[in-house]
Amino acid sequence: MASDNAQSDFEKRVGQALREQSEQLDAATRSRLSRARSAAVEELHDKRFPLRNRWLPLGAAAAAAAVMALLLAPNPPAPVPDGRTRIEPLEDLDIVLAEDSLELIEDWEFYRWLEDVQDVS
Amino acid sequence: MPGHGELTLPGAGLRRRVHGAEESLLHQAAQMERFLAGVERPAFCIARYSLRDEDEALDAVQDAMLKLVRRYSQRPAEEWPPLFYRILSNCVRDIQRRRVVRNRVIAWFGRSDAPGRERDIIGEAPDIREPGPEKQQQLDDAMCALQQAVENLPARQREAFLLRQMEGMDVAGTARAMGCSQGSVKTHYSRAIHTLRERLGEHW
Repeated sequence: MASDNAQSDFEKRVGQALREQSEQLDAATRSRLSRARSAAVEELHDKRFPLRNRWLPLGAAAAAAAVMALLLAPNPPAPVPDGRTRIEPLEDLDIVLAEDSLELIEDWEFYRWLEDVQDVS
Repeated sequence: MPGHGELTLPGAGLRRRVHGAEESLLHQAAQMERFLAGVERPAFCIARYSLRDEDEALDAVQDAMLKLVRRYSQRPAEEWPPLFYRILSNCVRDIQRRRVVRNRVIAWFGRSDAPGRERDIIGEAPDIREPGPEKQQQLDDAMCALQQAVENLPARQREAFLLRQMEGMDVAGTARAMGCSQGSVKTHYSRAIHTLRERLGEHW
């Protein structure tokens, strides 16, 4: 407050009138001031976390590219000429981890014998 | 340090720091919001007294807010008022300079086609924001006289007077906002009061 020196009545009256005037702005002006303030405070968020905002579009672009790659990827591999389907490494892992694999190991001799019989026939 | 048996997950410290930074940001944003909400109206009035145009005054306040946030938001909050008004003063001066250049350009091109120039009907139309004769009569004579007297003060006197009376800044804060010594502020303010008292004596 301008109280460094005692104010005269004139100064007090004038100051009071000016402060009241600033409180009686019309709604449109108050609204525009409020929007300006919000924009400035929003800038504060952008300023403090610039990387977060910068990486957002990049992350979205990468995700979109991954989706496009999946959609445009070639079909699953066709069977090889000998009639057996080539197994991809990931599918290998699934088979090994499946519960049936224990039975496969237990009956390993039987399946070897079956394969030999099929080859001969 | 975590005690025995307390499980510390990797990255927990980082998460705590990020959480702390976010809380600090929210606190600072709330503080800035409160500050700007408190100064926006007097700042607008001060800019309007200097520019005599509401749109340009709003532009000046908006620019000042953005510049304060971009450049000085890290400074202690008690430094914001003089910084903000210093920036606002510069924004007002920038607008006044642009206005001078624009008027010169318009005057230059206006002269070249003066003989066959068509009347600018839109430009000559009365400003609808200006109160008409009837409303003008209804306005408080004393307030009108005060506004005119303040508008007609020399720029530095007006700035010192408005910062002290409308914003309520002390001499030291006004000096920082105006970029001058406290003695200069006292001189500008004293002359402003003297002039206003002379011009408004019969009303106030």
